[in-house]
Amino acid sequence: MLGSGEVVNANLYDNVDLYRALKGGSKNFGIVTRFDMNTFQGGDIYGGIVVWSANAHALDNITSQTLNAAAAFAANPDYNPFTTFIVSISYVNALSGYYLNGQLEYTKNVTSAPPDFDAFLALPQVSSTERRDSMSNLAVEFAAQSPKGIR
Amino acid sequence: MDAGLAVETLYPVNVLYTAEQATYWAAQNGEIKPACFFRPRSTLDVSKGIKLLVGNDCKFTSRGGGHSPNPGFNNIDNGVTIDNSLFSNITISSNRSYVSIAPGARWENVYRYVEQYGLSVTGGRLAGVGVAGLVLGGGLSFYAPRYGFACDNVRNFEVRLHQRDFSTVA
Repeated sequence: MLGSGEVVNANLYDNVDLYRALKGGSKNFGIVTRFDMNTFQGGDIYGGIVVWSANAHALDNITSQTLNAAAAFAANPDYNPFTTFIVSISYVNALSGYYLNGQLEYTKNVTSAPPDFDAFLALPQVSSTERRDSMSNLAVEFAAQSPKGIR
Repeated sequence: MDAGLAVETLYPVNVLYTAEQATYWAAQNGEIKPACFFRPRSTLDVSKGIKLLVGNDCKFTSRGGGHSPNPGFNNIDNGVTIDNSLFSNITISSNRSYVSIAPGARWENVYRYVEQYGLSVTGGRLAGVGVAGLVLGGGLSFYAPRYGFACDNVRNFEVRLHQRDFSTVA
């Protein structure tokens, strides 16, 4: 319909260089007008937000314990590919301290955390919303934790 | 930009222009003032828009979810910002092995769509993040240890090429 080669498909068989370049190539080559993305068996997963401290300081025990747990988790040679985690530390002006929290996810349809997260969950926590839920609901919760306008 | 294009173009005088600026996640990008926001609804709209922009040597950029905090990634001074947020349809293939996603879609909409079929995709972790920026920048998801980056799970990209002589771009 457009004729002059302005709109192309890039995949393993056509425009292979472009297909490769777009992975990380951002908008430098053109505007992508359609993404054909593979699907896979889904279903609910286990995830949420754990808060270890709402006003930690850099030298608090809880801070170093949480970071140590994160380092050990990532370095584990038997890393469980169904698990992911994020640990974040954000300075909060109003509290004059660091909001130390994490998101622990297990991409299986279960109602409790796998043993892989024991070290994180053994630490004293302020709160936890970890539960079984849909990816969409979890994404909404995480977005609410990072509202626009403050970065 | 309106010439021959029956699509929405927002100029600074329009209240929707100001509303658009407020939708950016990062203030440093919401404060940028493009000459206009051009809002295509289809590949054809995008194609005609790029033809006009390149033909007139205009500076332009694009935005989808508007979530990038990197200054200047998704908005532009003295240029046109192509806003894909009205171009956001999602359609599953007949054998359900892939979904076709338009650039302005956001991850919450993609998940809610594929969840109807008991499926998932390697998408972003925040509901309002746009598909285009995340995928074209790599893309982390909760499924990454199993399936890799979001971009590695795209079997095909339909692309409207810039067709610009890169040697003349400053």
